[in-house]
Amino acid sequence: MKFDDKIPIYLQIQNYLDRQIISGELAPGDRLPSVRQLAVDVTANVNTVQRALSEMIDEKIIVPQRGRGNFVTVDVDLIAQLRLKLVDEQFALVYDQLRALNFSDSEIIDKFVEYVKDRGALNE
Amino acid sequence: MSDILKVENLNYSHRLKKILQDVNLTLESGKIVGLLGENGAGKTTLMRLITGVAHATGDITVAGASRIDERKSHVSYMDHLGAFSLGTHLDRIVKFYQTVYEDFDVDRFNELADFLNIDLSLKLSALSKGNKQKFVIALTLSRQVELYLLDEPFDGIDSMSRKDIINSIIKWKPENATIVISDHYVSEISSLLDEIVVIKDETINCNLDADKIREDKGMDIEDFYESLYERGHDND
Amino acid sequence: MTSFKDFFKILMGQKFRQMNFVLLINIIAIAVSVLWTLINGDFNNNTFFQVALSWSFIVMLWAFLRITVTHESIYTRDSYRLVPISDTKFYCINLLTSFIAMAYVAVVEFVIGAATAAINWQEYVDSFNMMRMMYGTRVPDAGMIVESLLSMALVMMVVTILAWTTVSLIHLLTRAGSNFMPYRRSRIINFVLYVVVIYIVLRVVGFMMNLVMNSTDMFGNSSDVWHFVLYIVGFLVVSAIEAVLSVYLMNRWVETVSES
Repeated sequence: MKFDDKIPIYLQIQNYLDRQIISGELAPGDRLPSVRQLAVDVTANVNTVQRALSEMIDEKIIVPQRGRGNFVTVDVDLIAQLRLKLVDEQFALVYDQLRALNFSDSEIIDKFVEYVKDRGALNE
Repeated sequence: MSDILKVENLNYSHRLKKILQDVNLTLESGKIVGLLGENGAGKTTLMRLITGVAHATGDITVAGASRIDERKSHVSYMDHLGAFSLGTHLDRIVKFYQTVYEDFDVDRFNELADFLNIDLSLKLSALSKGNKQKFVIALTLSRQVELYLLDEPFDGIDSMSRKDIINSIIKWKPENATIVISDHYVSEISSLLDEIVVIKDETINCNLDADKIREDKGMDIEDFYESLYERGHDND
Repeated sequence: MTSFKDFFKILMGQKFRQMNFVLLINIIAIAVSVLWTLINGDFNNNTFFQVALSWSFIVMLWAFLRITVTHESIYTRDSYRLVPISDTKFYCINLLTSFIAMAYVAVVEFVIGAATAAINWQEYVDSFNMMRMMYGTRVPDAGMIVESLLSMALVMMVVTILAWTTVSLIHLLTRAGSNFMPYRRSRIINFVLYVVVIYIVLRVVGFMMNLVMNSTDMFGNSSDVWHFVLYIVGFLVVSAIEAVLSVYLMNRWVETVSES
């Protein structure tokens, strides 16, 4: 996995796992690979991966089971929330950048609706 | 986590030249630490002093041991195999390690050798620089100790082998062991590091958590490392 | 920590291999020389013994130098110095293995000498008896020859040990001393340092040997067996002092060659 070295690695790992859960690659109730295996998969330090997992355990997205490893939560509401959080994050990025270029709110909305239409037409 | 390495008031001169002054450093167990500094800053010297193949004034304790011979049984340092003639077969060197180090794990070595694609029937003279480096790293990591000192492990190594070596470090590092990796080119290992230690002006300039640098300063490790030198110029 | 046995095995193996190579060359040299005499037509029953004897001195010297080089390089190489073993054990094992390797060559040389002498044994015995008949008791008898050979072997052993402890002391003193010399012109400075250290060590050792000889002379006359034993013990004491100094230097000052 390619990291952006300006952003804490544990956050990037957390983000990577969040996306896997939202996209369904890791389904509710699935067992996560071992910490060491994850470390090898993303090419990071075991401690850093452990820290990312701890954060996710605090958020209850991941549930540790003694002696059996870590599991994705079966609480679909939590996953739904996570999904919304991610959408917010992405929009926040775009919004900030466009506002910085002096686009007005209504312009942004219009452009976005138009953009989705075009992309949707392309994909059909 | 317990302290695996404690260096106190270390002073070292070589041929009338001060190399290290008032070095104090404590490392916890279970970490991967980047030892950074310019060429000739004293990274290799510090590693040699910790291992005990060079001597300085001050105290060094590794896993509770301060006597040199005891310390050596807790540290695995990269041996560049200068004692072996070029005609020596690699498997003979493995035998040497197996005999001389009680903590040498042959199974682990074979896995590593396999993973890094090392042909043990070759002679030392038949190895390219990169392959020799891989062989040395496999030997170093195959000892079961508390502290591993890797001195410029990526020196002369192509990017594919670099990935293999990084992966083998992640895969085979014992959970409670600490690995110190020295490098003057940070970005190739920065995602791997828990903390960095910078040697500058003959002493430890800083010892910081890598993700904390990213979080607090919003900088990548390399920029941060370079900023230390710019700040130094301003002071001049 | 590494055991005496394991470290011994490693150093012994290495020195054995080197000595076997030396001996292999020795045998080839003997064979070639014999063939050469054969071609030249000078071959007789005596040739084997003569050739073996004349090569044996060169081989012993070569073996000694080869071991000495290895013996000394072991002190400064990471591969050995990284091994978790006390400096005293390290020093003793190095000396012991060198000694055994040298003794091994000496024994093999003796066997080769004896084997080649056996070809023409009767003739040597005859001429020996002839000498005794002609000159009587002025020629030593067989027992005395064995006795003097044995004491010569003993002296050789002690001198070899003394030589190694002295060479090691010089080497380690110079290496330790070079840490305190400036970077500039390090080659020249190291050379001068070597000369100075060699001079000082040899003077001190010479002084101690004189001390040993003078004090043993006071204990009895020169034909005494005790006198001889005291000499030997005195030399060994000098060696032991050098060894203690060397171990101290290893422990405090001597660094390995930096290979990276």
